[in-house]
Amino acid sequence: MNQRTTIDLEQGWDFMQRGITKLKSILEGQPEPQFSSEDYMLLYTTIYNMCTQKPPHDYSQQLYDKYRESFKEYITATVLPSLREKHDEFMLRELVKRWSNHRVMVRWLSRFFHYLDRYFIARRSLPGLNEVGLTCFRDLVYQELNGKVRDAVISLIDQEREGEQIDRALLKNVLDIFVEIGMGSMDYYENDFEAAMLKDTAAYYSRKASNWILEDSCPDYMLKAEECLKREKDRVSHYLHSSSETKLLEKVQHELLSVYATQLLEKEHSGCHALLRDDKVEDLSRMYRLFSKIPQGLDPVANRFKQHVTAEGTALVKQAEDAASNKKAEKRDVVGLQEQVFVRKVIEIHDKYLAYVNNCFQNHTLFHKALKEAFELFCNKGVAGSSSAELLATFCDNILKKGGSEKLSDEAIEETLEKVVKLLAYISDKDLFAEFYRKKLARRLLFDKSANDEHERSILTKLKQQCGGQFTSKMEGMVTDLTLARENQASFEEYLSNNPAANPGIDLTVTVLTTGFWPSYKSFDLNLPAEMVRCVECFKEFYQTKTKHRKLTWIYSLGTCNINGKFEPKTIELVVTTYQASALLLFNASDRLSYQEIMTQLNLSDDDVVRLLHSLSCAKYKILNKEPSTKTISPTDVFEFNSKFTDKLRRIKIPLPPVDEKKKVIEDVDKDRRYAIDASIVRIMKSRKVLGYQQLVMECVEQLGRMFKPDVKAIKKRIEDLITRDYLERDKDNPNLFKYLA
Amino acid sequence: MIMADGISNLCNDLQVNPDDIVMLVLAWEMRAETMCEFSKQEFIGGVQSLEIDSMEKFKKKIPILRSQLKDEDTFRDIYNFAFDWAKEKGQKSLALETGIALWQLLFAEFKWPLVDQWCQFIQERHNKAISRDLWLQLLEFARTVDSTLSNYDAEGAWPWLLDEFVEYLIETGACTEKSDE
Repeated sequence: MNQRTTIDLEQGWDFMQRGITKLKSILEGQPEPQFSSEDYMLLYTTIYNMCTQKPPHDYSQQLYDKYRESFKEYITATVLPSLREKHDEFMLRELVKRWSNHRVMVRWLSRFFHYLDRYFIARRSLPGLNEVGLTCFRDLVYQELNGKVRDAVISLIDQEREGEQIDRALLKNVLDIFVEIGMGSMDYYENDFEAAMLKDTAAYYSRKASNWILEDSCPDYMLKAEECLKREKDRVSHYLHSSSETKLLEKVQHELLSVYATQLLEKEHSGCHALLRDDKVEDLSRMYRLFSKIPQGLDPVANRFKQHVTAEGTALVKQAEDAASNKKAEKRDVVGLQEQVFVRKVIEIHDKYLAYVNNCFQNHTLFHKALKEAFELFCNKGVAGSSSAELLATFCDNILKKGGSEKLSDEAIEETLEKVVKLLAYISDKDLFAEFYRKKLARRLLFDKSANDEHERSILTKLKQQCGGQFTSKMEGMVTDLTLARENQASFEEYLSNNPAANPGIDLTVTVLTTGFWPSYKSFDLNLPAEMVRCVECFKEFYQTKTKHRKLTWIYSLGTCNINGKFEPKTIELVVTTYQASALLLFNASDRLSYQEIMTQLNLSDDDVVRLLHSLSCAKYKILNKEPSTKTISPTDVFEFNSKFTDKLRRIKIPLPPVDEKKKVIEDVDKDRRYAIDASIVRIMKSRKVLGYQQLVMECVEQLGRMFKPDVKAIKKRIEDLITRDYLERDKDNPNLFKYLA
Repeated sequence: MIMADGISNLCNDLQVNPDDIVMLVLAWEMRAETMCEFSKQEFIGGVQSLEIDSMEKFKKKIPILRSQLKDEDTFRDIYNFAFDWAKEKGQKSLALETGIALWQLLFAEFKWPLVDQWCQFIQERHNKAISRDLWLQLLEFARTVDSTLSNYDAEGAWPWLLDEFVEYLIETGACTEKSDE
């Protein structure tokens, strides 16, 4: 090893100082040749040597201090004065330049002094050279100027907000200083710049919003708000730190939207209601986009949506009510065209607002809920004494029956049925719908009025999907019954052709149904004419051969007969109900019969007799002459076969208006509900054994809610009935507590 | 077996009116099964447990029996007892007229101010036999709900007829509706 001569501090530093001065000249842009690798080597070696000399000639500590002082000296002598004399944008430019120079200086100096980093600094855990260099700038320049810089930046941002062009690259560079000065920590950016910038933003938009809200319509305001948000977002991507985006947008949203939400949504001629009223789909979509971003922002929008839909629906109900009350009083009970129109319109607004939910409101659950609640509100009101359940069932009937009022293509029918079933979801009395539906289905099936078997099955599938298998099992049974009945009829006809002796001489078609599936009807009420009794006997015999242990119940009220009326002018085939036929056949034996005689011979109630005699003597076809000849039937009337009767046609159908079944349906449903409530209470109590009254009612309502909305009083009555029947008892000490008695 | 005639004789001897509520207390003491009847066993057993061996002692017992009605628990026992005692055997509920007569008797003693309105209501709006639950709950209602109905809870488990009664009282103006809090 060569013996080195010791370098003393003064001599060594003198050499270093020359290097540093050269560096400064380069930074200041003075003509100066670049450092060659030799220059660099010499500088580095000097430091190396001065640090590796034996104590007391190890100058590590002194050099470390001098390293720092070099920066301080340069900053104080050159950097700060140059910054202090500049302002605003010029100051910012100078700062960016100075910062960039400073970093060059740190890079070079820390290379010269590199040896310190390797041993001296590492061993003593001192701040590294790079850090020392940057800290000098931070302590001397940044600390003094950051407030001024921040204000300059913010003022530029505000200028840009007002539409001026600004040097975005400059701002980006300045803000990078705030980030870089933190050396990994965001504290300087956040505390010295961001906080004030956010505050300014809030103030800026608060000012703007307070003007806009007064001057602009709701759509214009929203357009501006959306544009502002877009610009702010753009601003972040161009020169703010990405971590500012959420905070910045939140501020803007708060000032523009949260603060004025109510005022904005309630603007009289352009607010939420007006937009909904005028179908401003685009504005509504914008409203959703904007308000979905603020906390609980959608609640008031959804609320107004619900109010609007409810109002529209209620107006439809009102319209239908008015139309109904303008109709003639006697026709009020029959669900007519007006109600048909009503359901159509309800479907239309459902389509419309569901589209709103799906498109404008992007399928958000809040809006689905609002739509549901609105429909539940007005759909359960009913129109002119008919419940919505009945209206829907009638609507379906009109679509599904032959010659209904709706003339639609197959696809349109499918689509409409789909929509009716959707509406059913809003009806709380689903059981009532089912009962009305079954009544009407029965008429369609039994009187061959169903237009299309496929549609019948398709709506049942839809109902099943929505309400469950239990809901449709009876209806499906009915449809299946009819298929079976057709097969049965075929084998009956075969039986007759094999047993000519048994043939009653009258064509007979029997539809055998399964009791449980069908609505209940009166049976065996009529005194059948002898000819028909033979038919019944004959069929019974045939049925015996097919199956044992099955009881046939005959429902004459649903039968039809084709009979020949031998009138003097010509013979006419009369298509009548079994009731009407039985009445007419009485006149084969007698010429004149009194009301009382007819009633006794037929064994029917007054209601039925009045109805059928009216159809035969007062309606379009007067097969019977009545004395006195009035428009109504009275118990003192006398009837006679009208042998002079004639008509253009050879075959006429004499309709017998059906009895209004509404009351019976409602009674039946009521009875079923009592059973359902009983069953539910017993089910609950069986598992719970002891339960408080409130809880019991709640669980019961929940269990039954899928089918109907049981009223609390009804539940209470059923509880008391179950107590009387010893299924439950009240706790001796607490009357609010019920116990299950096994 | 002492039947109606016998009881009327007994009342004469004891110098009490057969309609006096004390006869109900006596029936309760004797654990009588049926109204207007004492079986031999009931009567003998009752007389023994009351330590009566002469007409004199029997007469003296009357005020003591009557005073038992003052005790709330005993009154409740007697009230509850009255339902089974007065209803037709084999029936689950009590005939309306018997019920009303008993209520008037019992609530005169208990001093329920709404008894007349109740009896009127039950005749007008119900007019059917009285279930045991209603019978038992009515005393509970009379005991706990004050006559202005201020502490009546419409959400409670009161039998529905009691809910209707409250509505009836409000409707007829006998009570004003609770001003909502």
